[in-house]
Amino acid sequence: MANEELIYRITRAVYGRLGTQADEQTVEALVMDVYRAVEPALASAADEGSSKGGKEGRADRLIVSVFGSDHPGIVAAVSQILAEARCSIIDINQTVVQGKFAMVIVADITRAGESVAALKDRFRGEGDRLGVRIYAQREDLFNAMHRI
Amino acid sequence: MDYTQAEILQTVRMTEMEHLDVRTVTLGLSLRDCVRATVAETAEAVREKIERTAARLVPTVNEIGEEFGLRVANKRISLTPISLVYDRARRGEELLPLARAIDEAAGRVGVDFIGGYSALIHKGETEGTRAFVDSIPEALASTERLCSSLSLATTRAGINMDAVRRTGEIIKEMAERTREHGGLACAKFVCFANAVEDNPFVAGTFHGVGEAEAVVNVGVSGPGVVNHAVRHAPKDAPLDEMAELIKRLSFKLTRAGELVGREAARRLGLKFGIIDLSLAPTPTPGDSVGEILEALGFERAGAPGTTAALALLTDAVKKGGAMASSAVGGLSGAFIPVSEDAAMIEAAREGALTIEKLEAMTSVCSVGLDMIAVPGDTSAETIAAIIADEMAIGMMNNKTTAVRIIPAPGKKVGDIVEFGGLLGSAPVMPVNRFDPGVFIRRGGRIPAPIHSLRN
Repeated sequence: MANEELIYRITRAVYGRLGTQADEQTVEALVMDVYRAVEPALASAADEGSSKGGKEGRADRLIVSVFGSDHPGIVAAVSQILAEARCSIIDINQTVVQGKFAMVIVADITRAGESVAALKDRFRGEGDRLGVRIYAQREDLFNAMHRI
Repeated sequence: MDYTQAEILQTVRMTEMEHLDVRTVTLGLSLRDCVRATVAETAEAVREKIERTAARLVPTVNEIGEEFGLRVANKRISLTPISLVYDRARRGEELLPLARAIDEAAGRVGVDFIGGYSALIHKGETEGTRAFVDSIPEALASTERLCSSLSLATTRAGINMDAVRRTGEIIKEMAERTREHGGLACAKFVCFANAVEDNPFVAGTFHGVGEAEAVVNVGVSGPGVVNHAVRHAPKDAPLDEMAELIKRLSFKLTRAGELVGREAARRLGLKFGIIDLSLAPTPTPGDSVGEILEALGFERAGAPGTTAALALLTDAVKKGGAMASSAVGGLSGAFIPVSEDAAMIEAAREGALTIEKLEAMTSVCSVGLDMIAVPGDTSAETIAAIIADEMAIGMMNNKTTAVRIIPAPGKKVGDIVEFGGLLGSAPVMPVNRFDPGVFIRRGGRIPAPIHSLRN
């Protein structure tokens, strides 16, 4: 769908340069040429916005949450998996209350070498070994549910 | 961190422990370009279109479910009412190759159900739709995934009582043809007043004639989440606070469902249609609308006051959902299918829940008498009369109502009919034994109510 606001602004800029005497058909042709030239860039920017999200939570980030009984090595094991999958940790928050371990990691999966499903399989396996539950869910889900 | 630990924990708890899932991602598909001169050609065109358009549906939706950590229980397809796609049959049998072609295509693309073996006959029938209605029992008995529906009434058109009477007969026929499976075909058939064109739920899903070429509709489900919250609220909390609590949860459920739906539409290169925010129970204990009602303060669902509680629940769900999304559609409310809801099964078994009470409840929730098993010797006319009552509630109250009833062959009150999977198991419920035969045999139409004249 054409962006009418943008077309209007381009038209004004063209008239600004050529003066109001400019031939109407030439102006129209020029405006459409310019619009078509920039349209793909606009579309991909919009696409980027919708698929990756900005404030809306990001599709390329995972929230990894880990719950269970505390013992040494949980943080190391989880971050090891993330490192091997080439996911960087953006944020991490870990607490132990009355022996109960809770950790939340925000991980960037842009450069991940494997699918989310494969990553989750590894988390499941490691979780069983460690005796904790590890969940991984896309960040935009949390944004959708908890932010207006 | 952008989210508090409590928020993260709540989402994890909902998805992992309280059965929050997306009940269905339903691909609505227009078949209006598949109209051909013969049944064989139409069947081929329909089969090709379903297989081409829905080829990536199941793997794509599964992938998205994995990424969000949100299970998508069913993948479904809804079609343009088939009676519109091929209206030239004069005998029911002629349509069977088409029904089977659809079912096979559904199997090949791996969806759980395919709906739209449907006809809109709320005001009258063509010769083609008459043959189509005749074809429904065998079409459902000889297929696995196919679902069928009939529109028998609308607020604008009134009730087509000839069609209601015929529907009673075909329901008996369906039961008989699937006798060894408890009358399973009846579970894949529903009749409507004020049928909606974008409902993603079976058995009533069809792709309305006002719809786009192909859309992704989503039905979200979270009775377990609401049940958990209501159960843990103080027993003396006033009802307006309970409504507020349910509304807030409904907002979250809707947002999660819409996110999945939009992502599915984007990846499939299709339009996003609607999110249906019906609370749809499953036979899993806890994931039950009946339990929510009981948690609001009843010994058993069906006790006096249940209708009022259901009104509160339905309305709160709608309000929360309407704020969460501007694409709310479908049936959107609360479903009360007896066989699919552990607490409703129990309530019916104990006699707390009767067909009459359910009928009252349907005047305040989103559907109707749903998944109700009645004795096998219930007459076609009595079934038609039960349908007529339900159609009248829908017509007079400007709302959708439906009937999905199973006269289980050879079963008596108190027996249990097993359907398996999401369809669950139904206790056979008693039916009023007095005869409505003369009323039903009159046929004709019940005229549209005065408030249909709104222009």
